[in-house]
Amino acid sequence: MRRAVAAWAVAVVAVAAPAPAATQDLAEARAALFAGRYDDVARLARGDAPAALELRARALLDTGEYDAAIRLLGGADGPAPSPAVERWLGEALMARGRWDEAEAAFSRAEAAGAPDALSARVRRGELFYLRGRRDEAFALFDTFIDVYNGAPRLSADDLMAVATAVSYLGRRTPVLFQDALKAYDEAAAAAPGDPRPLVAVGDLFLAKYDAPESHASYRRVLDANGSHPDALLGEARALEFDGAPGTLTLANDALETNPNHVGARVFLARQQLRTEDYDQAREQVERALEVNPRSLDALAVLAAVHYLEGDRTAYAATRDRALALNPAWPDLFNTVAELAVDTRKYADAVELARQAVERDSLSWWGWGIMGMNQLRTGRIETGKANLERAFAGDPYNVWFRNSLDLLDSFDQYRIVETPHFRIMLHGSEADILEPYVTAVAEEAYEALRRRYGTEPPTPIRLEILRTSSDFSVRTLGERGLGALGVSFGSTLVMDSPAARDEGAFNWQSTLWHEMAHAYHLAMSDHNVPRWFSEGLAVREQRVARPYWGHRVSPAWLQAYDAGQMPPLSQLNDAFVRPAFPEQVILAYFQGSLVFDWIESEWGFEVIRSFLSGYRDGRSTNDLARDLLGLSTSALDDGFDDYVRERFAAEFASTTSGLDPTPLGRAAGRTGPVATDVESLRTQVRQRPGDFQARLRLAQALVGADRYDEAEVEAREALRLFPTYGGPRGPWHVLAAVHEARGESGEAADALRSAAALDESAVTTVLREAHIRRELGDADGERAALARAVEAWPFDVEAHERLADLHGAAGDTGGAVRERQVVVALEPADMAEARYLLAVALRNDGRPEDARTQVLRALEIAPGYEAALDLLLDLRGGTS
Amino acid sequence: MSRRRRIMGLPTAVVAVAVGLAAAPHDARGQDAHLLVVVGIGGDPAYTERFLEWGTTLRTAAMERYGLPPERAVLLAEDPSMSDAIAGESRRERVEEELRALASRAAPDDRVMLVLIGHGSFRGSEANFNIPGRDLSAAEYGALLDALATSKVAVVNTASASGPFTQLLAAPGRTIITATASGGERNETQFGQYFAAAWEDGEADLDKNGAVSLLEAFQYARSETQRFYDDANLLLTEHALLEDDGDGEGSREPGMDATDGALAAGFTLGAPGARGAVTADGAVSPIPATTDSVLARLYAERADLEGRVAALRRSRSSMDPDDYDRELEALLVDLALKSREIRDREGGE
Ligand SMILES: [Zn+2]
Repeated sequence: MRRAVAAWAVAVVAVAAPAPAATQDLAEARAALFAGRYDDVARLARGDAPAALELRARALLDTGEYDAAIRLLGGADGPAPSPAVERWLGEALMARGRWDEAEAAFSRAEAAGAPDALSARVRRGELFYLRGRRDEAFALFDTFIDVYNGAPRLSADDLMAVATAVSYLGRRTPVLFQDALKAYDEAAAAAPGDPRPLVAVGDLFLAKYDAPESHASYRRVLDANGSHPDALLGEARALEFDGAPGTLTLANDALETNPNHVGARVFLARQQLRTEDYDQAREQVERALEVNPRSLDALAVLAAVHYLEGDRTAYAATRDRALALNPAWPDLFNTVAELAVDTRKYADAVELARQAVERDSLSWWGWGIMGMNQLRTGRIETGKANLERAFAGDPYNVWFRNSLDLLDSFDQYRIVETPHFRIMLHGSEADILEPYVTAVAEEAYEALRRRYGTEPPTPIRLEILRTSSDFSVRTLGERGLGALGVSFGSTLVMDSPAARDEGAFNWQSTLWHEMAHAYHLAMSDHNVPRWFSEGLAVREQRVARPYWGHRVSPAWLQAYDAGQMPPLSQLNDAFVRPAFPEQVILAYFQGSLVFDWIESEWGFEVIRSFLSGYRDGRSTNDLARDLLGLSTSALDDGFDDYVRERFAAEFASTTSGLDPTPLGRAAGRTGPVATDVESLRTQVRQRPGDFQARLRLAQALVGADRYDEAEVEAREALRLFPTYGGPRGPWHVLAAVHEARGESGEAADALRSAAALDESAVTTVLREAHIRRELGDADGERAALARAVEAWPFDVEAHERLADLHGAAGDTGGAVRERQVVVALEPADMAEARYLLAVALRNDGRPEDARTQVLRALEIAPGYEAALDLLLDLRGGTS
Repeated sequence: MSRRRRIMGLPTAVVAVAVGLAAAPHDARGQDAHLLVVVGIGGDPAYTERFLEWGTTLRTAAMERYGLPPERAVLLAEDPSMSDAIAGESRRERVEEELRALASRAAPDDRVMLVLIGHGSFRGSEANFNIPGRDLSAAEYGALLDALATSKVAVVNTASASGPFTQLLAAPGRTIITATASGGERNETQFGQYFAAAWEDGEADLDKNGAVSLLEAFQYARSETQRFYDDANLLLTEHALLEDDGDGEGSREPGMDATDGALAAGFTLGAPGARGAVTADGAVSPIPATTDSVLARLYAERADLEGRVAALRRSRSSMDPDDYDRELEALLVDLALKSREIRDREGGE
């Protein structure tokens, strides 16, 4: 039968074949189609021969002129001028969402034994699938395996049809994706130059998370036809997968060729939703639905718009509209779930994914979303089970695999329980971090509880991950530039200090920040805007320890002054769609100022009221009017007045210099390049009030050993910008000057002042400790070393010294803690480390624990006289 | 800081007199230690200087702390003009000459430690330590060491790509230490620095018996090397090995009770300030020489208790932890009391 079809097809083509010159034209028309010269196609493929009609129809389809294609092929009700083009009529009708008429056209093609009857048949299967009649769809797709296996030679169209059917079957039997790929490849070989199999191969690779291969396929199309809309969209999606820029441009290019491209509009709408641009997203998706009112993808995004805007009535209506078309369609829920995660509604995502898998138990995406968000909400075991289920069904999914690998590594971690926390620490560093993390976590819990007057759900799960890559896997899909921690509510995940270089960040400060988020999310029921929670969390860091958190910087002052930062009422934009990369970091700081202002003007109570207002679904503008008595513009103006007054000196000394603004730097502008003293002095003479010029001169003078002059410039820089916390600031310069002059006390004080502006200044405080030790300033040395081990707990000598200092100062508990950490750091000389811990324990009134430690010391070194004496001592022996 | 632990130990002078180490490094039973340090070619001035510094540290410690006379602590290096400590150029002829001299000088019970500091290379099956001129291969070092009268030999190759020396030089009685686990670990190594430092003071005397053993020096250097890489946030690119059971398979974590390590635990350069004397098998004995019969008995009893602690420790894994701790504590209390008796008696001398 199949062979009969093929023979018939040859006959039809032969009979319908126009004159030889026209054959030449048709070949050129085909080449024009493949090259995207759509006007040429219409000119070259004249006449009513099926081959000519097909080429013209395909050009119209590529350019989105679906109605013109329908007219060309005989109208929506058919029949088409020839069975050979019924299938193309069906395609045009599908593009407009006219499923019944499309199905009729496909059926006519099959019934008439059209040469591309298999293509029509697979499309009918896809229609079953779209309508949620999956059993019928799969039964139909199943027959294609026999087609492939039974046929000696298939046409390109037939191979495409087989590949499409087999890729659907792959949802049940993943390994079949390989077969689909093979068939597409054969199709591409059988129809050289035709973009369709190549686009399909790209889509298939992308569905299997192989971006490089998908790029390669799309590129082959785009090399021949740079404006092919499907390939452009595919490339955009592959770039999105890579996290690379340029996706919006490509999607817009696709719309340039085909303004009715529903896929491109849906893609854009999703991007706009991710940046919380609801109006734009709605507009895009409505335009998509005008073209194809039955586009399930467009309906899903529309449902998400309503959901995220909190309009549950409209959401339900759109949802029902989609489910009426396809009651078994899971991806409506998956789409909404995934977008809900962007606004931190993890519990919602779990619930939505549950609805997805209830409709389609083969929705691996749904199982995956459910599992990932269960992990985020602290339900590790259930989450892992669901992720495993998802991965079994979609074994190519790199995210599922990475997450499962990470979960497997959890057995290298240990759980430490405290009154309000379950803290997960890596075995290799658990003993080092435990004393600090338990203390700071409970302190944060208590301090924030007092401030916010409520509590987040406990126990709070705090995961401290040993490597940054583990952290990235765990927080997949979370946005945030160089994030060090994330709060999913009562599940906090952060980098261990060991995941970064010494002095790269202060993990205790980060922990406090994430704890603040836990309170904000709990109080607002996950409805707090990102800018609000981030700004407030940074303020909480500074409230906890004055030296923690972001500082005012020349970059922020310049960006704010140049209008590169949004006003208060639009600060969220800087987080969700930063205009330049650095804008996010600057927005954290700006956000924290908002709460400095509000708390000082209205008190903290009003901030709590904001959080409960968000919980009730109210907007910032609305709440500002009620709680602060300020209209949106008055709010923006009030904040502007506040910062301009507070930082008057800093603005004046940083915004009139030669340094480019952050936006300017992002655009490639560079600042002054001179580093020699004389040029820098000239710059200072020209702009005496320019802090950065002054600082550079001071730095250069220290470099040239001209200390007296350096001091003058550093002191002037300090006067211009007293709270500069950046690298090599005025205090650092002054410390260097004093050290060079042998003025140790002044040097140590300058280092302390520098460290007071920088939470992770490990090197600075270690230097200070060293100087204070030489000065015999035990208290000062102790304070400096405590700062050092707070941010970087892996320095054995710092802990040893700190233990001695604590002991000498009568802080026996502190001495024990530091000695425990020394043991945990496993120095070569363990006998001594354990002996000294035993001494500290004895001094702290813990003779039993001391005895245990001294036994461990003597076990290594039985001849250790001091330890032997301590053992007798502990047993009440006379000595 | 770690020096503080010694303040409760015995006064050094008393012990030194007791074991006869005060002036003459030659101990009572006539075994000597010999050290030959070969510093290879640096390649650039920074390396040349650093390697020489490590070699000098080791030689100085051997002389000042372990009492080796200069002629038994020989340092060869690339450029003898750089330091008076350098006995000659580290060319193959001179290395061969020194090893042949050792063959005629070292007695059957003497201990010989050969330390190579510098760069190494490994091509095909040929493992080399790079010296000025033509290198000596591992096989050639082996032949020279085979000619020694004593089998108590330690070869410490701290160079990059030194791993193959483990297998190529292994022999009964011999301890081989290499800075890397294979010929493929070609990056510059840090191990040598810490191995040399291990002999400088008591820091590496991990069991507090007063002497640093080869095993302890290895453990100390391995641990400090690891710390160096951790602190710098670098991937550990050198994995030191110790081999002393003669099978040519080195261990990453040797120990008294592990496949490798027992022999190295008994190999020292001497016993500075320790209460022990060096015994015939090279180990530090817990029984110092004394003419006081009471003290002699006390020393023997203490040695017995220490032996029982060691035996108990070996059976730890098969014991209930509480029982183990109880027995351990009982032994250690006896040991502590014995030590006091000894101290009282010694103090009364
Ligand atoms: Zn945050």
